[in-house]
Amino acid sequence: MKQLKALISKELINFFGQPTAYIFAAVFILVNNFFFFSNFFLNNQASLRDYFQFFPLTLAFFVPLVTMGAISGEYKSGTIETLLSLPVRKSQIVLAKFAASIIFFLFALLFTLPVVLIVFLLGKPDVGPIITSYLASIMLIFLYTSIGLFASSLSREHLVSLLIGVISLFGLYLCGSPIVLEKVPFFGQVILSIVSPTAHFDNFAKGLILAKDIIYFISIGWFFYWLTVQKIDFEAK
Amino acid sequence: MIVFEKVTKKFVDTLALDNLSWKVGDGEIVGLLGPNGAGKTTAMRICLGLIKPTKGRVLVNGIDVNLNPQKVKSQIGYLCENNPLYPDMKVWEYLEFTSNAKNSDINSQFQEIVGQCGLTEVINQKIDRLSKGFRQRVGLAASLIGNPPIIILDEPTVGLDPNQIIEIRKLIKSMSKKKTVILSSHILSEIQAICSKVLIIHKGRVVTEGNLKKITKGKSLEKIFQKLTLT
Repeated sequence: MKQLKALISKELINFFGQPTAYIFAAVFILVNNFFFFSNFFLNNQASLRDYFQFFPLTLAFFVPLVTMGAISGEYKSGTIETLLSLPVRKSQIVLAKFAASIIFFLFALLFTLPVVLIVFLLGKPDVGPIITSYLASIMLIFLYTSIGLFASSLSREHLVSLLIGVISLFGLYLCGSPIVLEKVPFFGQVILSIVSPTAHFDNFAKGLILAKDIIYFISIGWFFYWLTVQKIDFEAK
Repeated sequence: MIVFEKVTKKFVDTLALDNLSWKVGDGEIVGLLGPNGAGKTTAMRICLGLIKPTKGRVLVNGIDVNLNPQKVKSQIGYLCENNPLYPDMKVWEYLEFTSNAKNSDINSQFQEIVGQCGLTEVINQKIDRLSKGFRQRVGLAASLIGNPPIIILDEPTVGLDPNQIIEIRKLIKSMSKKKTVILSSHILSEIQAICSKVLIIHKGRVVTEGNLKKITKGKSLEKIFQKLTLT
């Protein structure tokens, strides 16, 4: 536990020691707020559902921005050798990066609270769906981070990792979007809805906490975490 | 004690180590020599479990590196070539991180290591603001944390100015009184100044090993090195 804590705090120092982290967090909030408030007063509803519905799309860009250098940076700078020479497991190294990224986005989510406050001042939104939407956002960050970290392990160049991450996550998001779903037969729609996080996220946003949605986020998130550990292990062969 | 037992390492179509067998006894300070691409860094990486051998095995104090890499790593302090560090961390943060990652108690050793490595004046500075010499000291200090019985140093003085080289050599010599040290370097005078034993490898094979005085027999190490590796 002491080792894992040390690895997480190292990651957090690296995250918060750079101004880019704050810029990413600020831009993430600004983009979401812009999308939300451009229609909020026209809709004339004290609801945050529209606010959270942009998260699967915006996070598909912002998570790879944060994770792109997590592993590729260690290889590029050579610090992976320093890290792997310590008596820690590869799984702990990846887990620490995973945890630090999630902590960073939890920090960014804190800045969404003023929006919640504004909506509460203007009306009486349902509290349940707001809580489950935050839960869904954390699940989504968990899933996207695991894919982003795997993308980061595939290349030593930040930009390549970013592109792999964004294309994968945007592709995953598109699988569940009406533009794609309308063009495929029913069976395809069922498969794509299972694969894409959108439908699972929407269930949470409606206030529904279903086991299948939790299993989806955790199993796919764990799978890419495992793949990332395997990739680092493969590099040692 | 470190034992290499018929270790072979192949990278796709390159043979980096060819049936390398080698023993380093407790308390010895051994120079690992060889031209570029001879397999020095590969040997050190295998010893640490950073890469796996294609054939053979390495035992560190009786523990097979492949079977228990974590335990082996806890017994080795390593300064890798170019000494990559985390530039956003302060010196004390980095040493604290290393200590916690090694599961050791920083308080008991901190002052001693910081003093020994001459880091007192820069302890609160960010690593990216340090000179190359101080960075090298930070790497050395990190390798000493946890009081490991074995220290592996890969090109510890590369890129340093003459004064810094002398200081780092003194530091290595002082630590060699209590520890087993493997030192890889291209600077033959450095090996002669610090080490009691040498291993010269060429194209992944041992070309000579043993007591430095016996190998040189009064001749210069440079000439012997050239004779053995210019083929």
